[in-house]
Amino acid sequence: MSLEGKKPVTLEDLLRLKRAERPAPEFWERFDRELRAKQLAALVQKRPWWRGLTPSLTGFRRYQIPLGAAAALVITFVTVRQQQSTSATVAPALPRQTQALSTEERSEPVRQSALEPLERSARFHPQVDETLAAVEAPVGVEPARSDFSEVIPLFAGTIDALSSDDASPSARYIAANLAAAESASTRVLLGKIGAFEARAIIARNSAVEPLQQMASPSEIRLARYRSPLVATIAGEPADDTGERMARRLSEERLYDQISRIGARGDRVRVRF
Amino acid sequence: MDATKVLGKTLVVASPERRHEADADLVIVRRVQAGDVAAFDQLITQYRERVFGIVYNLTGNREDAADLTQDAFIKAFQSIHRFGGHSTFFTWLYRIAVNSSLSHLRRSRLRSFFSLERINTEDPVAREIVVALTDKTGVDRDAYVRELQEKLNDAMQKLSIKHRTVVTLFEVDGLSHQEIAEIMHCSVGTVRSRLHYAKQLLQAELQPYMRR
Repeated sequence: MSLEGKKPVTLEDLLRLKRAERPAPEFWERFDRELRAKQLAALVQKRPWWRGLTPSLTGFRRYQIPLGAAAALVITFVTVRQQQSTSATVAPALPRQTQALSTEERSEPVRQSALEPLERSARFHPQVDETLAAVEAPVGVEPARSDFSEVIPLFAGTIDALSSDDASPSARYIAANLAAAESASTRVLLGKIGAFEARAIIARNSAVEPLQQMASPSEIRLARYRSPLVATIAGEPADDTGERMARRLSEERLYDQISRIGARGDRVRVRF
Repeated sequence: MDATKVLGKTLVVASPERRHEADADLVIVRRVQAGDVAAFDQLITQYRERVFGIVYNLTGNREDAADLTQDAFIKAFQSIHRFGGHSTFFTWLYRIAVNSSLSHLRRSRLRSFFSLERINTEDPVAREIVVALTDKTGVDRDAYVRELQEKLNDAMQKLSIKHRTVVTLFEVDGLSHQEIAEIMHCSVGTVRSRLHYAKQLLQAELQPYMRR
């Protein structure tokens, strides 16, 4: 049988067929029972605490975009402020470090620390006076950058003179201090030319005190009187017992012994 | 109390029947809000088939449609105190059901099991359409109708959720463009454009079953 002459079927007709897709009556009986059970369960179910907030927040729904934008701005602002405060606490420390590493502050402690042993040693060795007079400038005057280039050759000549083999121990100590000062000055020059990191390294390296390389006057006196006196008192070979006796003898006792015993030429005088 | 004029706003209702329906619904809602919770059962009985039809055509699964319809009524019951009458109860309920269905579809996007209701060929409109489509009778006609039903469901599922919603509300449930716009929170023009686009896609899919 042909289908011609029949009513045309459109898309709307096909979609209207879906209205005929309906469940059987038994379905609705079960539906009502299940719905009742779910309603009772919903009554006893504990609602989350934030559910109570939603009614109060419903009124803000129309403002959600501006509120969200405002919240984002506030968070950004707070974050930026925190970063700025963090960098501000670090920044003040940096200038202090930078000042410590600047040419003027670096040069002054190095220069003064290099000069202190020289001044002490000057009491024991007259050659140092000339060096000091040449090097030492008024303390308050900041040396210009070119001063270091003049000082270093001066130090070099003095070091050579003082470090010879026939120089006294004190002279050798002075030579060692001058060498340390020269190396510090050299590093200062390098630091001025170099970068910030090099200056930071210089600042750390310049912490080595020339005083640490130098023996104290009491030790010098002990060493001077050690060998002949101890050998005389103990009656032992100086090279074997000198150090032992020097350790045992306190400085006060040593002076007491020295005042009782005198040696001049071929005579030895003992007081009781 | 005229439900079409609430808080100084004039609600657009499609037809006088709908206007009368909206008025009756508002009375029941006020009773429920006053404490007569049993009155809510009247609203369930009145709208359960229509809500189920919408949800079923969106999901294509009978069991899921039943669960989602029940959930929609429970949500409406729990939120009945917040119904301020800015829209008709019918629109408000439909909006809850559509949103629940859309959430369900987004959650279960990767898995889709179709469970279709049988087309009631005893329905006069359905019978007329089936007769116009085929001359087959008996078992053959049932098989043909089943095949057509599956083809329809496949074509609907190929639409996006928003296009499927518009087609379902307009073609299956018979709502107006304005009512659909209120339910979906969009403009009437958006509803019209989505409907036109969806129909073009369905036309291409169902061409073998149509006859001009």
